[in-house]
Amino acid sequence: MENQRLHTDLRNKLHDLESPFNDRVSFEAVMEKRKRKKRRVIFWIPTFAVVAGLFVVGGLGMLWVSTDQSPEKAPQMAFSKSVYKPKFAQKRTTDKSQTLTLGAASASTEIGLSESAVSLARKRALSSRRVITVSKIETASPGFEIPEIASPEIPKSIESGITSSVSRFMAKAESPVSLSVPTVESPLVNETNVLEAAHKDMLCDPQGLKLVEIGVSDPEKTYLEIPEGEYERSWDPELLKSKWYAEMSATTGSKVVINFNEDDRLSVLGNMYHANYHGLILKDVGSGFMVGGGFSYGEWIGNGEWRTREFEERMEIDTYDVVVMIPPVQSVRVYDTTYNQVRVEEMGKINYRINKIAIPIALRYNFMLGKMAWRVGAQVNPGMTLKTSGDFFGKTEFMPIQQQRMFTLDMKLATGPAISVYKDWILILEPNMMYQTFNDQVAKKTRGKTLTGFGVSVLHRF
Amino acid sequence: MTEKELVDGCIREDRICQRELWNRYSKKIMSLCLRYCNSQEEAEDALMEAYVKIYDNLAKFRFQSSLETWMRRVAVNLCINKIRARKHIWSSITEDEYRLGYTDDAFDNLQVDQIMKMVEALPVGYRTVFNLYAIEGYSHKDIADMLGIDEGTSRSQFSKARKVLQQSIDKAEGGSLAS
Repeated sequence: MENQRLHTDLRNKLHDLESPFNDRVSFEAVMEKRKRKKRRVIFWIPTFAVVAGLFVVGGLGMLWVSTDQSPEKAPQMAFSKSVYKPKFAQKRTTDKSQTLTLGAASASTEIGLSESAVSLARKRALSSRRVITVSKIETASPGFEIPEIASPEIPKSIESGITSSVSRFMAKAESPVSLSVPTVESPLVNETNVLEAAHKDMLCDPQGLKLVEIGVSDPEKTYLEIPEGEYERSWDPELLKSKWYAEMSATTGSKVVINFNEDDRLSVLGNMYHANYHGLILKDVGSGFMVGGGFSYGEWIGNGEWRTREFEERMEIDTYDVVVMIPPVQSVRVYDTTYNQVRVEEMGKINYRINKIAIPIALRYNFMLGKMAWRVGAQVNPGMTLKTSGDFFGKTEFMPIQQQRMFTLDMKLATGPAISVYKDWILILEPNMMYQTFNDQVAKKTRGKTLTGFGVSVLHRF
Repeated sequence: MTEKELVDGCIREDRICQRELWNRYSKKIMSLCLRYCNSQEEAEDALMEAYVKIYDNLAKFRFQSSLETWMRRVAVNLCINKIRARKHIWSSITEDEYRLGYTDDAFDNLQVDQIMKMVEALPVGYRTVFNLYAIEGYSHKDIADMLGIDEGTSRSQFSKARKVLQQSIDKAEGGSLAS
């Protein structure tokens, strides 16, 4: 209670206390501060808008990429392996439809396939790149009739059947085969954009296309399989993909050279940078691997400063006279010699430049990590210098490399995500590590440094 | 000019009202800031920031307390935020120390500026809790919430502050007696 009273007293004493402040604090200063704060807010609004916009665009891009990468699923089940034969499809102009009548124990259950045609064709014939698959099945039973769905896009000339295969399969069947279609709404016309899927799949599944399922519904009752063999080999959509790619790439990297050892006579503090540009032709050799070669141009520069530390022994001679006060008064000159070790430092600038060309040999491996396509790239660039100048340096040494024609060998290791930016165009963002070497003709020594950095590659499929 | 007129004018960005608000309360708020801040400069910065906040948020003032009380609260919150940003380490205290405190007539013989100087001389933790509890009248629970510390820590800081203040008072009185 006493304390409460004290606090009240104290509060009364301090509450109305006024304290002066310096001239810099004024109403005008507050207003100016307020104005600046508002200005800051206005500055941030467009900045936030830009950042938010970038996030939205990035998000939509990722969504687009991930959506495109998921394989198209037809609503109905079908043949376990459907293949198409693009070359043959165009050639087969005659209607090879066969009528199949399958034996049945009961007449009522007899099902005649008056017409069974499965046509697969490339839509290239239709000035499009789509492959259209039509499954048309008619039953003998009027109650079991499936309405024919005509596809106006398919000219008869390109219809080709695989009914002969189907016929063979059906003929082997001992029991009656019943083809049941669950609902009339079930789409019998099934368009699968195989080529487009092939293109996109390449971006996400470099090991090849998965076969696209097409056909009729109800897998429990009907399961038609086309026997493996010639058809499958020649109708493999994998064959449609181009195996050739062009790659253009720009790579940068840097390295800091610094020596913390104070005992070294020479120390160099510097930075190295490189920029490398190359164009490659790559071939997809399967299983996600690509190999290729091309042309490369690179610049490797360095600049910094050197410092030498040396200890010098310096002799200092002090002289003073000592007066001997015994008569006769004489003076004696004394020489005091001392040796001091003095550290002498010298500093200077240092730089070099190496321009070179090379013929790179490249190996690429593409793989999926989650829903994202990634690429690992390894590359060896044997080449030679075009121009050299200055003094190349290490931590504790530097050596002149002026006007030397030297052999170079660079090795690059890079990995990064591959993003499909447009049809047949892929952007690869690659952090990389590049070991750059050159053969010093004068010193007869190979010198090298590893620089790390970032690179951007654009891949185009022919 | 009444408080209502003043507030309404400031909301309308009336420069005369804004200046009047500054003239009327700035020195009191400065006194408050000085009690929380470590230096004159810091207190002046806090004062200006507090006024910027006050001008910006006057529309939120509901007249449920006096304008001065509301302004003090804004300034106190700002100073507290500054102190919290400094991540002051609160020291603990034993129960015996907690019972120690100043005597009932401790501040009777002291001038306001002497008390002010003593409060300013307290370490940050003690000073903040002392200001909030003894002068602003917050409870230890409120202080604990505001500062993000335990209620016990708030009590212990306050107790230590009292102890240090008592020593300062004794010293001041001894000095005045000696003179």
